[in-house]
Amino acid sequence: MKKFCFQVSLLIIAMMFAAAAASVSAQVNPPAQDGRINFAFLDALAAKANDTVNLNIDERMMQISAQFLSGDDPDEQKVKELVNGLKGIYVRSLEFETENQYTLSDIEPIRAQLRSPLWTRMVGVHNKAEGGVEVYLMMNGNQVGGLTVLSVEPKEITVVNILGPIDLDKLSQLEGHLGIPQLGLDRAKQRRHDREDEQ
Amino acid sequence: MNEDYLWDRSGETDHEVQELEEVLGTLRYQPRPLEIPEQSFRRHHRFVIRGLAIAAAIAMFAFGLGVWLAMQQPETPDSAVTAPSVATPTVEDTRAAAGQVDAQKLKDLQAAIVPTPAAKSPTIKRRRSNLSTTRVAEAKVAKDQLMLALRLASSKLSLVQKKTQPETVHNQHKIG
Repeated sequence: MKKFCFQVSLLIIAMMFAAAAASVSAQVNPPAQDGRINFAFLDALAAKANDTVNLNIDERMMQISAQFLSGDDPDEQKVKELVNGLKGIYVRSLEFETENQYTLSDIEPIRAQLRSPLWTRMVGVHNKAEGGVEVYLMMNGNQVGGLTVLSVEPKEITVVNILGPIDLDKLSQLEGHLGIPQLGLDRAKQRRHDREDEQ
Repeated sequence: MNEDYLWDRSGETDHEVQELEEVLGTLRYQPRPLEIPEQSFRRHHRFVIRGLAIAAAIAMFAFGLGVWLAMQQPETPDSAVTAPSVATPTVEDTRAAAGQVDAQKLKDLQAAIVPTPAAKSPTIKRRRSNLSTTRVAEAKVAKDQLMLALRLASSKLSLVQKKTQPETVHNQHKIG
């Protein structure tokens, strides 16, 4: 009897230690709640970055901005349809002046959140020189409930976290529209394609 | 001395040997069960109990620390764009930006946000106009941020598409 009580008490203490370790670990690296990514660790890198983009657009702001989108402009109409129903868009983009300003361990907290059961990695492309882009989807049954794009380049880290039903085709077609030329984020690759076409 | 007596106790007994036997007889081995002194067992038991108590206290402290850290989670910062292309507007900027807004859009938005019964007092009218101007400016800023976010997302997705479907893109370039 005494031996049994001793073993039970040891087991309870071990479980408490495990729970304590898990709760502390959750604070150090908290998982995404409802799909929202915690950017705390990325924000710590902002001090080293040359340019930073920090956007937190919640549902309320999205509704306000959607009211301001014109129904006459076809591009803005597309955007209006795209953001209809979205819960939030959260973006962090850090651009560094030189390479090697961050390590992969700096991005690991973000990746760890994307390894949770909420997210499914749909596609990942990687190039040793140019870095890589990974696309994660959050599925609610058969419907897309969220999207996260993680782009890691030698001089840039970009994370886009969109919550809500999003149409990927419509989103990828937006580039080049809205009266804005294509962003120079892949300018070098575009020039390479153009050169190949001329040949 | 009779050596047989020392061997198997036969023969004549020796007086000196007998005396030795009596003296040393008290020290003869007597088998008995092992007796564990109670005091040392209790001491060991107390030590184990104390160790468990300390371990439990540390575990509870660590658990409480984790709960406290959970309650101390920082609030999410307000949205702010620090890229050079988009600036966070001040109150003066929002009013100036509002001046550039399309007049028709402003009227539509005012109709949507603010109801339009005629204001009797000019002070109330001015106050309502300022409020709606601020809301319009807020909406414009929100729209700019939304566009930037969507552009970033779109560019990254297009990049993935181009890398995963290069032939499709190549043909598109030829047609374009």
